[in-house]
Amino acid sequence: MQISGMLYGARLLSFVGFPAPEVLGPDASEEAIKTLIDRHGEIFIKPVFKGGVGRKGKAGLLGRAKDLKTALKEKERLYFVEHQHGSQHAKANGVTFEGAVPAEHEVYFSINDSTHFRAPTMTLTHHGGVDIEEVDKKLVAQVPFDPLTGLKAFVVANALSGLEAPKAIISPLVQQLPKLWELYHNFGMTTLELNPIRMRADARGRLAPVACDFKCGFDRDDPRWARLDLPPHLFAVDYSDFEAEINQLRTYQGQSDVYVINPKGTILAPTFGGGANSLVTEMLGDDAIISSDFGGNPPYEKMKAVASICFKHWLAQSNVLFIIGGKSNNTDIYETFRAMADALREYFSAHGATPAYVVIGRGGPNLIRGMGAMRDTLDALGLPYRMFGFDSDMSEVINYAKAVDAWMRASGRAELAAKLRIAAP
Amino acid sequence: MYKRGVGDFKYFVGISSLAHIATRQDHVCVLNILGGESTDVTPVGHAYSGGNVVFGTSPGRRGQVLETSIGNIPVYNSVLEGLDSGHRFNCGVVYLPPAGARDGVAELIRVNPELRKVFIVTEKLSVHDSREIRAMGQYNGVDIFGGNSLGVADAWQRVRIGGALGGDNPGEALKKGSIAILSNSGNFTTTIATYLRMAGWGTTTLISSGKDIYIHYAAPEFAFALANDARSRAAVLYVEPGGYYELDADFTKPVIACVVGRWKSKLTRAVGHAGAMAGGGDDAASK
Repeated sequence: MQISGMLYGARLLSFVGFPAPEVLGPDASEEAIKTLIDRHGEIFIKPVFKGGVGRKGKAGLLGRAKDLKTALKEKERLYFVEHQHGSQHAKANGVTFEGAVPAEHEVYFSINDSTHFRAPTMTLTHHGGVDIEEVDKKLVAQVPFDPLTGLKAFVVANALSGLEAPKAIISPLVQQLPKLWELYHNFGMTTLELNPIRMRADARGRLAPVACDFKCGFDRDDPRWARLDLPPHLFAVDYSDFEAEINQLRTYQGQSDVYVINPKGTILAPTFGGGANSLVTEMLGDDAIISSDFGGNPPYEKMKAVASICFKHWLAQSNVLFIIGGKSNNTDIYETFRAMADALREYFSAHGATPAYVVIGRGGPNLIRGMGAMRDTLDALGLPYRMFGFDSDMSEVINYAKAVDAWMRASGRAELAAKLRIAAP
Repeated sequence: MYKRGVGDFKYFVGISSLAHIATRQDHVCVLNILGGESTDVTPVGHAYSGGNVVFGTSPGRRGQVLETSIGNIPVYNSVLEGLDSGHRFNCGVVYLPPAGARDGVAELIRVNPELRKVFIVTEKLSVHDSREIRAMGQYNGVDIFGGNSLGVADAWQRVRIGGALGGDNPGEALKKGSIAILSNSGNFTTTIATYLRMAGWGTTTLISSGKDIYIHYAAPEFAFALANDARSRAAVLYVEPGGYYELDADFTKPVIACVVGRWKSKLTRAVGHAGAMAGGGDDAASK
């Protein structure tokens, strides 16, 4: 859950009183844009992306204008621009118009929870305005601090002294930067980056920091970010229909984490346990339709609802229904298997039979009862199955499921369809 | 920011050897002992450990008990009530829901000066709360395990503290041997112990570290304690991407590490383990 850019960045910064430039959104009138140009002499035009999108400047996605005609031309160029960053592809939906902030100094500032220090850590340098990875490490301060007292002025002062930063920027940064901790800690953030912060001179030449770009990430397990009253559509880009449906069942009693790996995959693998999730997804590769973790002892109703949603979206195309996990610590295998079996029955009842080979690998409390419930249902539905206990090496069970999938692709699916007396796929 | 402990760490670590992780001298208080998960899991660990849980808390349920095969565990409204009733403990186990876990840790630390270890079973803790939990532990010289941890176990001393490590029959999975286990996955801690047992290897100490963004007891301190544990001749690690924990670990005994999660480099959000995201040099390939 990430936000980048000043459209919402400026608003979030205003919660803690951190200075930002004047920002207009995509629906700004020509008159407002003209007034902005008149006030600042120059404006920036930046595309608005959902999520955390970086390196826009390097990709030529930064517009500048000193007159309205140029500003509108840049708006047209950037409004729906597409950008490749890392392995992600993003498409803009709108632009912001931002008053230029002339400055001699550009500062980089970020907070994140560092696993080196095991504490919230400030990264600060007065050689900002470029990617932080490109700055010589000797010129960057990385300072962990105590979250119970927060980012204090002296922490900032000590860091800037250590960097031998220009004297003129020290006092204004010492006064303003600690406010950003309030934003970070009280509104559920896990990353916050301002790059650059430009030091604007007032009429008397005194400098004040102005945040000219903004990027933050939120912790989806922290309800504090809801205090910001951000529109839900900002984070909606992450989820497919299937994922959104499953996420509605998200509670702390039993996980329901899903991610669509390959919508054209052929192995539907409801998986139990975070470790199993990692291993299974890695080994199945693109044969897997989803990556999932349904462990944590979900109650019957929740498990049945989750299974129903999975079947509704994916069972028809699946060669293999692969129910897999390690030896459960507390998940009741009978409850979860019974729930999945009932969901399967209901699916067949509503949609008719579908040729799927069921492979199960599991262990835990009430395992045999659970396998019995599954066996009864699968026998009644006429589906072939193979079950493995907890003492079977999980990697080998996964390889078995892949071998079954290969057989189904070759001739197995047609054979099974004939046996079930349904049309061959 | 932190109390001085053992080793050369830039933070507090109190435990110097794996043999001290879960011992027969540890006495345990369980917060939310009458919750759904604890009701199933605590009696099993208590019996396996020879009765290590001295009391539990559940607001409004003072006077109730948690039944176990070796006797009832008393329940009080709060930790203070339990101490005032004459009980003493050095380990706390937190089964509270995510919104309450941080306050539970604060209660354990502030009310009991003899507290030395806390085991947080709670999953989906906010990073905000994990930060504060760590700071409280660091100030007060308390080792913390988790969050999202299935706890710890010692196969030599037959002790289990925390969650359902070893499943509903820990004696079956945990056979005395020479291999220590550290796993980011709770389930795989038990699974690896089971596979080792079937191949003829036993275990010493098992630790489910969790895989949140904050892992309070992680590979560096595990490596230190492993070096100081004469019983453990080697270790098995199960790790996923996310964090530089393993970079700072100094192993002096043989280690087999299973690193899973190369596929997570394609993710744009957390799936499964919250801390197992990837990016930069912080991915499975780098690990």
